[in-house]
Amino acid sequence: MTEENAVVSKVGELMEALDNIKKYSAFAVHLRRFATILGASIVAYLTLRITFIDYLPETQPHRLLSIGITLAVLLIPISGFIIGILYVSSKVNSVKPGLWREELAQGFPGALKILTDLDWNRTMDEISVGKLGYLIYGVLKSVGYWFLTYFVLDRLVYFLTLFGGKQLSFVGNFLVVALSLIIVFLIVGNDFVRRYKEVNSLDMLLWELRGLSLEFKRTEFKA
Amino acid sequence: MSSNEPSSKPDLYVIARIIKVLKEKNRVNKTALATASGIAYDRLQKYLEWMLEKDFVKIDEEGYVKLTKTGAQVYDDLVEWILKNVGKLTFPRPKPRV
Repeated sequence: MTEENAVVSKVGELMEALDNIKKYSAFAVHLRRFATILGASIVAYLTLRITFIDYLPETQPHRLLSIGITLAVLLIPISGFIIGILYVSSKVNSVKPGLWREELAQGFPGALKILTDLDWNRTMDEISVGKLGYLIYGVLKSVGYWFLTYFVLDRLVYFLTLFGGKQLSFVGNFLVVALSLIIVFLIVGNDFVRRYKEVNSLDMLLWELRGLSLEFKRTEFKA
Repeated sequence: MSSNEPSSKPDLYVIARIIKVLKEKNRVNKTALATASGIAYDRLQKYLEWMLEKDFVKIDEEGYVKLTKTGAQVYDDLVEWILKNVGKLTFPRPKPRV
């Protein structure tokens, strides 16, 4: 491979990495809306539950009605969670990669233009913001999983009490909370590890770009 | 280099395009050079004046443009510099998952 082709190939790698950064940034940009969708669905569920379900009489004909309504209302936070994730997924996937390929196809001059036109500060800010947004999204998603798991377990216990089971004491409720946390940890434990490794990779990229941008700024391209 | 200020700092990208064409074609007239490098003729003229001053190119009696050793060396040095600084980086490319 000639040196010029090697430069073109390397700049292509850099731009692919920066395309991925834009996807990470998308998490940060749409985080608030995701939190709003999730939060609103949880609040709606709790409001409906406290206002209506908890006051339904527990006589036979109303037991089944209570179960039916509870299941229907449980769909609210579940669908809110799914809608939130689909929303973020659509925004992340809408980031268009490879807009730089046409320029890079010009060979070394195209690679040079891409490098000299790069807004290094903005790129590094995108990485920093993207990292944080991605982590926070992971945390919010885990919190969402926990709420859903707790709601489902809590209602399962409630259904049992409808059919003659004992009401849970404070310790029992605490155990439901703990069990839901354990279940969520089992579901998302690997997810956290993966996100942590990705954020570390982004940190490495940030350091490399910082060094490269300093070299560019230090060197005056004067013939 | 704007078309109104020939002595201001030139666009490295334009110079690289001109030199690349000259490296490929060796000897070329100005019109063909403008077409091959995708630069407007009057803008090319200004760049050629600058490059003549710097001894990057020479123009023979028939009006053909040729790359000098200095011009070729500057281009190669630039390629080498970029390869040295960009080539050593690894660019991790994690892909986010929702």
